[in-house]
Amino acid sequence: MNNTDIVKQSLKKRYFKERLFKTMGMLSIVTAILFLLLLLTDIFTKAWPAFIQTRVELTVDLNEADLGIDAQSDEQAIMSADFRKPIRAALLNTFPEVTKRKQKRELYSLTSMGAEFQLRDMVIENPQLIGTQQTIQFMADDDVDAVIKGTIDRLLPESDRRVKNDKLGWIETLEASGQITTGFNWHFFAAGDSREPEMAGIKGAILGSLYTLLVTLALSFPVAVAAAIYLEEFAPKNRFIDFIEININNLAAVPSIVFGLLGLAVFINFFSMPRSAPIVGGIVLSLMTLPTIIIASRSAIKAVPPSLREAALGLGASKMQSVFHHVLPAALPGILTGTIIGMAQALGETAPLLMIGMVAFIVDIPQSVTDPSTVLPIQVFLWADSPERGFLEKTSAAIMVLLFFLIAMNAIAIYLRKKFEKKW
Amino acid sequence: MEHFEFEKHTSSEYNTELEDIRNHLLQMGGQAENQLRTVLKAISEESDELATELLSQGDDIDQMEVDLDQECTRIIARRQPAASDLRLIVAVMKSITDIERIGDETEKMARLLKKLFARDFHSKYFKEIDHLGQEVLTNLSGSLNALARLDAEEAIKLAQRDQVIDAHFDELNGQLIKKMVKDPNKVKPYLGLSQCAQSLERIGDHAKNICEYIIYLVIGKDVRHTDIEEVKNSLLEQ
Amino acid sequence: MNEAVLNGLNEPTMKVQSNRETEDSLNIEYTDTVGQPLCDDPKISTRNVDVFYADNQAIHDVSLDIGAHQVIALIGPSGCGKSTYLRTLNRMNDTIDICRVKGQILLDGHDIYQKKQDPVLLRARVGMVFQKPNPFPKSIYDNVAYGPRIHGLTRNKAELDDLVEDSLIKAGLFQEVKDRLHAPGTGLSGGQQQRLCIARTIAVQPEVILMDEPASALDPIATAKIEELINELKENFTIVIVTHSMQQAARVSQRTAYFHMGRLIEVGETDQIFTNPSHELTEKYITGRFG
Repeated sequence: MNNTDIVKQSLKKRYFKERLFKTMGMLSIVTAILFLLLLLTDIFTKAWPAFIQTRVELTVDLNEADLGIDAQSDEQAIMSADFRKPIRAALLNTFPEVTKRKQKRELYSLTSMGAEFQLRDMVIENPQLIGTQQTIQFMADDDVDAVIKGTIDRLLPESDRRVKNDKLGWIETLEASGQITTGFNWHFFAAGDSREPEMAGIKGAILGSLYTLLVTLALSFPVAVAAAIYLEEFAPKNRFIDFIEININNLAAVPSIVFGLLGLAVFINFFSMPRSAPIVGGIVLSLMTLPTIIIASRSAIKAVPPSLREAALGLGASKMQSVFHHVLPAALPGILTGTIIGMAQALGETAPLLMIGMVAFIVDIPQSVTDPSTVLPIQVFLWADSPERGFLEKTSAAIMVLLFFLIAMNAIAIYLRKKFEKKW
Repeated sequence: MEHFEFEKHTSSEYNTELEDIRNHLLQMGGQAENQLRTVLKAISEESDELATELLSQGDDIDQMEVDLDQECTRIIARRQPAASDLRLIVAVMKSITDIERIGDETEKMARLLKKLFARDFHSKYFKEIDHLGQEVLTNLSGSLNALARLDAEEAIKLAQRDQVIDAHFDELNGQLIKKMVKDPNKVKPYLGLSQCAQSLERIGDHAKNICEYIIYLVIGKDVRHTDIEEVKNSLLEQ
Repeated sequence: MNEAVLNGLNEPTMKVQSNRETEDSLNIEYTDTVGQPLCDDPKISTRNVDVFYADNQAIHDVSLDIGAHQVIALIGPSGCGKSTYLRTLNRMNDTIDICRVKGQILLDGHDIYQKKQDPVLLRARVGMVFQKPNPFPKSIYDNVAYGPRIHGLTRNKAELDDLVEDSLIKAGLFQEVKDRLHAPGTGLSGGQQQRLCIARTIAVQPEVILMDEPASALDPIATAKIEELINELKENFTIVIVTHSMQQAARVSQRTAYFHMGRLIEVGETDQIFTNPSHELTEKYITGRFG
């Protein structure tokens, strides 16, 4: 038997192994994709209703007597006026047969608590409305919403149903007369958190996340890049620097909640910084993100061919010039990628922010980095924890928004890398 | 002075090529030496057959020269020799010209001898020329040996000895001219003898040239057209 | 053929064998540099230069003069210290922490390793071209203009334009790139890139140009162009070239220095080194008996 035969025999086995490996690899990828699809579909189907708002169309009589204000009233007065009255009057108007107190209360809950604010905001915007009659689409209560979207089954016996027969009847009447409409839920993106699911919006959390990330970026990017440049290009090689390097690497592996504890102890208790504020969250997250960016930046700087540095030095550029004119631009794609990955990590981080009080229920939309606020992942956590049925879809919707931001950030990372990448 | 030596090249093929060249050069030298020996034997024994035999070999040396020239050209083209290798190639290319001339001179002598033998000319000067020839032969063998051993010291000695040959030739030639003056009838055969002696002197010069190439090859100095004594002294100083 | 000749024939071969057995042909005792390491009109003189990498001595006691307006080639086997020595001449070794240089290196009579000597200024006077063409990932124009810009050699755009053009002309590249000065320098061919690097170096108008195997990554035609360029440049610059190609050293240089194991073995006129080197090690290296 000569060599060719021996090789031929072993070939079969080798090819079989190769095919086996390929198949297994393919299977694992398929499994991963399936799970991802499952997850996404689940979230998407659950989140979808949250983007649709149910509205109840009512004709309200904004007469001056009921409201106690007129077109000349200042904002202050309008703010304190009772807008519940015209809405309730309109509801009673629609269903004049309702007279009992208990029934009336049920009837009033057809529209959301937010309906009066909706009306108030309209009047503030346009005081000329006072004294006129307006047909307005009011935000429906979450139960109405649930019935319309089918999350509450109308065919269930009354005892098992959250919405009782009376109310269901009104809803069906309104539906039949075309007074119940649905539309895209802009409110979700324009409002802060609320106890009422139909009123709860994500804007507060988005802005909170945005402010937190801005603080994080503003702090960690310059510090991390400067540290990386110093360590790679300028630092003397000695034990102290080695020690620092090892610790930076270790820092990247420290559980994030430890950073939260640190933030609580140092920034809030010692420096008396405001609780629940994006500024503290940003500082804590930048501490957490620093090692990630430093490590990524260092490897990006290390990957710049030494010939480039030599070329600059050989021409008489100073060390500083060679770094800032040549090394840094060449390393920028890598640095930016690292930074955005760090930012994405920070965006999804929950644990350290719990420690510094960003888990609080905050209705107001933060106006600055010192206002109390919450962030997207914590909003998800908070809603997931709420008992109301309507928050289930909000939770999924918030997850979708969070995922959207993560994907957008990764897309920016890829775009930046492509844009700054240069061949040499 | 230490003997020059060839160590192995990194490329064994190159090594073989250089050694081949040296071997072929020495073979060619040996051939020239043999021809000189034959022609001297023909003189001392006044043998027409030997002279004839010699003439029949004439082409060998020419062929060797052509072959060696080709080999050298090829090495220059392919190996770009430097330093001692370069000097070896240069020395070989120059030496083969001289050796080829030596071959030519022996042939010329053989033809002259055949003419003299045809006239049935006898003279004591055959013996004298043989003496001169032996000296030249010693020089030629010596220089070929020095070439084989790359012995510059020996080469210097031999180059100096060429003066002795020149002196000997001058004396012999003087005598032959006197003979011609005395005996005008025999001008032609004596002239033939004189030309033989002249050929030997030329062979001596060629041998000296070879010595000079050896010196160039070994110590890297071109000693042509310089005072050999000076060279020797400067070398001894080193 | 007589016996003596035959014997003579065999002799060297025998010696070769005996030498191969002992393998001591490389362990030749170091003696002082042979040849003429010094010259009359030195641009750079180095005296007793030692270079250490941590505890490792890379250069041992090198004394060598580099003559003005001539090309000196540094040759020797890999790791012999020729590149290290070259880099001491413009203090490129400063970038390596563990590298220490002892001895004197004088540029026009001034010690370049003095405390008050600024390495940046030194590198403006002693430029360097590297083995691998390393243009900046910028346009051709910016590559050449970089040096003059950082040193502030020109007062306005017009002057800079002239300097760039002039440098490209001197580097023999202008005709090839004049229509695409703002195209990236990295898009040129290897040989063009290397000439761009040379143009970039001469744009700073240095006095000395150090070249570290400038043509080793190039094809023969590009190499020939670089060599031709070196030949022209020596009118205005002093050039030190490290090369692995002995033919290249022979072609471009006036003097050649042979390094071996961190020591300067022999220096001489290139003609002499390549026809008749004095030191046994030089001879062996040049004829290809090792290295």
